[in-house]
Amino acid sequence: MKQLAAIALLLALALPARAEAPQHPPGRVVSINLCADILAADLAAPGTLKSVFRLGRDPGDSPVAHLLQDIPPNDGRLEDILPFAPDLVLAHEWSSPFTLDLIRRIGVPVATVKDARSFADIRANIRTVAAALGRKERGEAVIAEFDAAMEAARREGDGPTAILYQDLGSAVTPNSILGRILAHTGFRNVVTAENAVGLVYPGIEDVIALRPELFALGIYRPDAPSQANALLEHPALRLYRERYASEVDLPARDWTCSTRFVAGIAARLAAAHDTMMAEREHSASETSSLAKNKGVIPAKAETLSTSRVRFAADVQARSDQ
Amino acid sequence: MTRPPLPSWMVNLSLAVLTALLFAASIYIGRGGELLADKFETISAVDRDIAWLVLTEVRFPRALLGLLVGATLGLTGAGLQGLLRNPLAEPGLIGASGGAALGAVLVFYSGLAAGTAMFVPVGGVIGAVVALAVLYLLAGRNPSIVTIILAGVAISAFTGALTSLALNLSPSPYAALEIVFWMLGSLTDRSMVQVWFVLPFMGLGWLLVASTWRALDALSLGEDTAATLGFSMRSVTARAILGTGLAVGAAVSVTGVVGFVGLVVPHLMRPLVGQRPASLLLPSALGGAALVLAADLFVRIPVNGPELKLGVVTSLIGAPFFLWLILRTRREAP
Repeated sequence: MKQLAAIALLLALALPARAEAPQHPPGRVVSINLCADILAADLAAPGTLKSVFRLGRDPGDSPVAHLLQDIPPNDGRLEDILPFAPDLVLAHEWSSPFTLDLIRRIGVPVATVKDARSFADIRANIRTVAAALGRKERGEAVIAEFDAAMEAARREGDGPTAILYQDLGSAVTPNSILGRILAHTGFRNVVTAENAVGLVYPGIEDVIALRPELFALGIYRPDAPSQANALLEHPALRLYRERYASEVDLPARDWTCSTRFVAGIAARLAAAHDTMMAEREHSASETSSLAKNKGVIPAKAETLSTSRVRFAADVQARSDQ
Repeated sequence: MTRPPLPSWMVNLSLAVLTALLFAASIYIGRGGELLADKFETISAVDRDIAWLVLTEVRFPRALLGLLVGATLGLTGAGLQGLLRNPLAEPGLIGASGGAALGAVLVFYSGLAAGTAMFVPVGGVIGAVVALAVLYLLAGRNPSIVTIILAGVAISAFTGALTSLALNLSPSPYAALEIVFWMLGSLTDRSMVQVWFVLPFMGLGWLLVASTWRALDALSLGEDTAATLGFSMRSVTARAILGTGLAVGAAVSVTGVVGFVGLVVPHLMRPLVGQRPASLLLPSALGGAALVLAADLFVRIPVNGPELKLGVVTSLIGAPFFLWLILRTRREAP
């Protein structure tokens, strides 16, 4: 009976201790995933990040590449990780389960980030990594920064219609992270169907029939040859884009992983929204004055705003670099 | 030789009519069975120019490519079966499609195509011709059924491995996914640009394959007899293989791999026009076109979710047919 009580006492003591944050914050952190790299670059104490996944240092993929140039890369294998003698490994929920199992068996704690599908998921990932690193305050600061940036990009009301074209001719659904940003910045997504993957594949004629006023192009490495680029160059789609749609490029490094950097995507879309709304007002006043002065029936407002708007987003892209 | 059950002009005419009907249906019926008139009206409300472009650059090229690719696969299938005197020969099975896919993938994703998209069909053609030349070298001058099939399997496996290597090394995960999707074969959202690219290669390939028609008949009596009748085996083989490479390479480089059409169609045509390889060429071309157009109509039926891929549908039809063919061959063999 006494023994049992002792065990119960030990358990009671041990359980909360395990759930608490580590007493000594980890000093040798290794990340084996791009999304974890991006989070760690924000959150880790200086000097504690010992190795990052190779893509984390690639400017095409990573918004924090410039911060990680001096940190040795790894390829996500156990043998890459061991030489750094980590006391914390950061991974993704989709990292190889075999690798994660091996890491846990040698007694190194693993924190995994999840595939973020919403703004709440983005905050949750920041909290997860911040807690694992023992830097909760820093985590809350980053979240506050993210929330402020998203708030600044919020646009309300009956905005322009938009399609967010991605690779393989896919368009994002409202329940994907990019779909949510589209709605957050005041656009009406012409794709209304939702599915688990967050992507649908409309044909060219469907896209034209849906009449998006904005083509947001989120193409991975847009300079590299891809079917996605070939599709956008299809004569019918090209003519539609030239005559009826504004465009904005959304660099993949800001959205490949859903991290706080999607706020940059939101800022670009918000800028596009403002330009298009200004243009809409402008053309509306133009048509009404035309109608007054010359007594002609005004053409549809949409057909008048034919100029392509590459605008503010490009300016911002230049200032980013 | 048994007399064909039907006069060949009648077969050809009815196949041509069937193909024409399917061609018209392919233009008129859109995704989910939506008719052209409705779509045209919706898009015309935006802009008549764009509606016109949807007709001439989306619907028309799709139907035209279905016709061209189907005819290519049917014709080359019949040609190869005649040349190799082997009912299992088919551009896909003997490695031509695999070689073409590899060539096209290498050209497209290496960035060579950035200069001009014309290089993609060229890559496909080179890949197909090289694959067939290797097959010919491997199989030797008097290829047995087993050697041809084994060599074809080896070449298909090797080109498949090299394509996988290209996937493995591709810098972008999307490029990898794109290659996989593209390899499944599809006619969706191609434009007249692609049609003009492949047309010269296909035309030349068809002429080369068709030019062997009399030799194919002679070959059915055996290689020696054909030689005695004055046909140069070297020239006939070269024309058939080069023609197949040109036409199949061009087809694959635009639509991806559409499997089994070349295998199935000549077998469907034989009961109609008889066993003579020469009289099989035209019906097979027409039948191939009809089959691919019909399969491409079938893939449009699902309304929601991604469209089925054409190559998937033809393989679903073709693979069981192939098994049945093997069973029948076994039963007939003593």
